Amino acid sequence: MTTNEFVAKNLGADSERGVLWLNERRQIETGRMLGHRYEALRVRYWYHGGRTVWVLDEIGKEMPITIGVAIENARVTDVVILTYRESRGGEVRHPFFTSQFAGAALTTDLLLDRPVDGISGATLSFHAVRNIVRFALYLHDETMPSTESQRDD
Amino acid sequence: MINFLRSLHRRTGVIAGLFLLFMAISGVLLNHAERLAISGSFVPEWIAGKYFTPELHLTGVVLGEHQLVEFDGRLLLDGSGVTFCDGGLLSAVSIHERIIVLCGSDLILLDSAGQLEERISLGQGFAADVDALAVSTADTLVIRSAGRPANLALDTLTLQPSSFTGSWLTSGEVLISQADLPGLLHDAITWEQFLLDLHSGAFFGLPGILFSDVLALIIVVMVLSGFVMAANPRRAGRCPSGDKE
Repeated sequence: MTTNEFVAKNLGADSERGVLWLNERRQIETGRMLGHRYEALRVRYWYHGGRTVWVLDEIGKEMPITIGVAIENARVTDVVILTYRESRGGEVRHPFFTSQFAGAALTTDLLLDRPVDGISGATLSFHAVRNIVRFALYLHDETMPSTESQRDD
Repeated sequence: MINFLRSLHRRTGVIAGLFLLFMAISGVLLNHAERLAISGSFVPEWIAGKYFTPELHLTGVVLGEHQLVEFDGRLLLDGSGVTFCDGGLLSAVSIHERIIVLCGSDLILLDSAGQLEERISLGQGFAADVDALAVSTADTLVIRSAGRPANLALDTLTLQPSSFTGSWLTSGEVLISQADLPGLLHDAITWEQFLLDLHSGAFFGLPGILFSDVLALIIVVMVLSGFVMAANPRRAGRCPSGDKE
């Protein structure tokens, strides 16, 4: 699935694009979720109504995994692994794993509000996907409460 | 014959024992590389430097004062690692105080300080078969998609047909010495890779591999001579019960 297809699947044809800059405060909180600062200075996203779609990269073991996350009303509606580059741990691409995130929300401690089962032999990829879902929920919260005012900071 | 075997067994035992000890320890560490975090930590540069020749032929682009090269799947700007470069460094341009790099089907935007601003996956449905970048006379970014030029607006990610006929900035071979790439070796070789190469002897090249082969043969001799002595305990100087003769 391509990014465009993922966006169209979750937002339809009327989505708009936004850009969220990761200022210092956001990078510090990002570090609590990813264990490090996000690599890029800004993140592009798509939105329509109360929904947002995020396409983010995170390294599993050695190579980045491109992960698409769709969110509505601060809860995950869809997670898809768009590009998997690692040689091992590819089981995280399968719906039996990604579907566990459906309905998940972020707690005030920036954790998921529900347990997600890992996959034996794909520990690092599992951590990468789980952390990116937390990150996407955080970014959604940063944009949705007052999208217009925060989009340009 | 048995006495010869005993002598051979004893003499080679010390060498083979040390070898086995190292193989066992390194094998256990490799089996638990992820748990011990040695798969994600890197060896010091003085060790990593042994893996590469003093001068390297890399794919790169020179943009004024800046030099971009791709090494081991990573994009280096003036010798320092910036981000991963999946699919090879194909092209790069400098525009509006930004450096824009095409790695595989990803467009990588760097700010004037070389910090990664954004990565745009053109192959994710935005533009197909992009293989080169250029800057038009109107100072806009032009991409060559499926052999045809098109203007790409980075803010909206929209493509417009272009009549661009200028030259494309594509990558070429760049000869670089290790000394000119201070960031090259910093995180090039993991402890897991290093241990694996020691385990197999590959770290020392062909001589190391042959040395491992010889030591493996010694272990085979040890095992076989041990079997023969065990099958002939009296002639080997020991009773089956362990009592002295």
